[in-house]
Amino acid sequence: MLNVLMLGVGQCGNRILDAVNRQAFGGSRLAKYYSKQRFPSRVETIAINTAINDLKELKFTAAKDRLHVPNLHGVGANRNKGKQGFWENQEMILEEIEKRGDFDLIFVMTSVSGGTGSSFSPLMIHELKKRYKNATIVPIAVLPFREEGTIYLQNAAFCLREMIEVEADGMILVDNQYLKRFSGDIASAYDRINTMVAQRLLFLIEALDSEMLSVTDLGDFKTVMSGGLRMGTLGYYQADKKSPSVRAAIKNSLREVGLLYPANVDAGEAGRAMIVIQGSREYLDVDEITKEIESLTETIGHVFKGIVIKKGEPRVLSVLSLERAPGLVELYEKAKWAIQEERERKDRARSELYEAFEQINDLEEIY
Amino acid sequence: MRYIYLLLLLVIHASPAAGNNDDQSVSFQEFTLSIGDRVEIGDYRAELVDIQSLKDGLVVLRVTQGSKFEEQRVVIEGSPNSFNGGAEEGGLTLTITDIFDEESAKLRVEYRESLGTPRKRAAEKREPRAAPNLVIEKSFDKSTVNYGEEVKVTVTVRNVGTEAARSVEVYDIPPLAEFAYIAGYPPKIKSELGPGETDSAVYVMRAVKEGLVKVPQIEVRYKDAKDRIRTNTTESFEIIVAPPKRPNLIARINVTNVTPGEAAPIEVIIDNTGQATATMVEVSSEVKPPEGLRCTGLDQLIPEIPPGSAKRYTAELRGERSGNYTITLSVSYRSGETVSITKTSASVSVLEREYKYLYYLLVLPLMLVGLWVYKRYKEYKY
Repeated sequence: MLNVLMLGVGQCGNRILDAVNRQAFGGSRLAKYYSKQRFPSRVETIAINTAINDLKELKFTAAKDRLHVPNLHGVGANRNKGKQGFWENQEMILEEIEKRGDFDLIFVMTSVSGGTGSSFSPLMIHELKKRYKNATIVPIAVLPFREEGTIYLQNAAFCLREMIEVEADGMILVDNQYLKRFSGDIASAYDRINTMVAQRLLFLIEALDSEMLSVTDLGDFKTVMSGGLRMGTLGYYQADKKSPSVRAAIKNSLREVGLLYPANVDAGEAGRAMIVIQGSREYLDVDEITKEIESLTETIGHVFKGIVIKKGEPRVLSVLSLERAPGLVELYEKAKWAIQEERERKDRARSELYEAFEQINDLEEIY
Repeated sequence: MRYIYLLLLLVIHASPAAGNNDDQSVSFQEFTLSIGDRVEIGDYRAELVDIQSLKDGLVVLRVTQGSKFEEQRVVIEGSPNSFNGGAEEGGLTLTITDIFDEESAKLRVEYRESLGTPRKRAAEKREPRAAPNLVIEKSFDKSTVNYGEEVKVTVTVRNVGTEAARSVEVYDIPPLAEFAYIAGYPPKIKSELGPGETDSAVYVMRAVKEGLVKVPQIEVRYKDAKDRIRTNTTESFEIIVAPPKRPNLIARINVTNVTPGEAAPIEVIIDNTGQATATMVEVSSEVKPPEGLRCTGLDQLIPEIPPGSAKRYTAELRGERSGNYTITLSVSYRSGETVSITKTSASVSVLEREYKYLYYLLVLPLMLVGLWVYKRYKEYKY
């Protein structure tokens, strides 16, 4: 059995973690009062935040699993302040994590654009790498809406770079900008995105810890995530009774519409992939699956496949590592512009202020 | 044997027969005479003049022989009396052998047979004999006397005779032990009662003892004109002194069991099944053990309860501590001077409060669910 740690850092990470916990209860709002969480493995969840109000709004995460970093009331999207806060509290944070035992797989879920999450996560991954040398540490990095503001863009740019620099075992990208098309308003978009991420992560953990007809394991996952940019994403599709074709399900899971970060698999943007297929035996024709996987290898360098026999229509989870990420380049361009814009705005404001101050040069207060 | 027969024949032959002597022989004959009747023998006349005393056996006789002889003498019953020398001397010997009543007697007449045969001559006109005759009666004004009741006794003396009675005295003794004599005893009657006159005396007594009482005969004693003492008595009779009429109170208690803190009514019914009114009825209560059961309004004072009626009242009972208790009512009442007490008791239980634990079984799952939900709420409350 896998020992999994899921850390939700910052407001976005906390919410995704809460969604994971909710899905572990079965998805019902009231299930926490009568049901028991059913994780496929031994899963420990911890929500970490500097803003206590963000922790309070969680509903499905046990109180003991909420860790408030004291003396801070949020970091106001200031990553420097966040880093300082982490360094001052890292022993307390890591001690709380270590109480939960040893882990094989650690997900660090965070928004790369916020304050606490974007500043804590790279440093935390760095520390976890040192303390859990055998663990596979994968950040779940949520990219911001592009129009959210210049600070968020520059935070995202620096955070992503730092997470690559601390040598996490790959990174799963979730692009809010891309996913918000599923919902009309921002609040429901966030909920929908969080739920999508939670379902896919739990599916992934189940796939890595199940007896399979065709085996994929943590090593395969690690190999996939270490390919290409060491960034990847998750695709998902669930067939229905009308069209239960497993081949169609596999294809759909790799389509842009099914991915958490837009990637054109057919255009060779995916470097490695792990395809996990789950469903009733009558739907899972191994030959067809094999044929489909073989066809995928024409565009994707290497594809691991896993088949889990479980009652129901075919469900497919695809884990991709990216060879190219044009969207990220675009993000960094915007971030660069944003940083310059921010600097110019600041300089301009400062010069205007100084000009204003100059008007009272050589003057004294008179009372 | 032959000699004995010969001897007897000689004795019989030698002894002279009284009636068979032709001239000197004396004979006798008995006559029943009423006053005024006479016996005639030859020229002798023997008349029964009067019976002076029946009790003493004194009779007045008069004998006459034409103009030659006349004598009136008081003779005693059974004693022969010779007149004009007696029968041996040619006179008469008279003996009263029996006195039947104050009007008649039997006279034995001895005479010489030479005088002839005696003949009885009834009085030509018999004058009624004047005498007092008192009849005495004793009567009670009630045929049945109850214990404690007063009874009026009337003694009536009536002179049904033809002569006044003197020195009339009534002897109503001895006093009866079953009665207390209140007034008028001993009865007093006028000392003289003329013919046809009636007098009565009344006295009052109260029955003080139950049972059959034999009322003895009473006597009236009086004298007639000749100072002869006469008496008369009543017949004795019996009367029953019935037991006194008394009230009889029967108390009953109707009560139900209570639980601690609960109040319940307690009904008291006092029936008078006796024949008299019970007065000053006082009900006092006692609860044992004294702690744990409180009774309010159980003690009562009831002026009277007539016979055949009942008095009901309700008191309150309040349980304070579980247990078994006995309520005892003492009902004292009066009937005249008599004070009686009757008691009754009833048991009452102050029950343990019954807890219906089964209801908790119904609530228990809800409580468990509530606790579980609360636990989860606290678990997820930050």
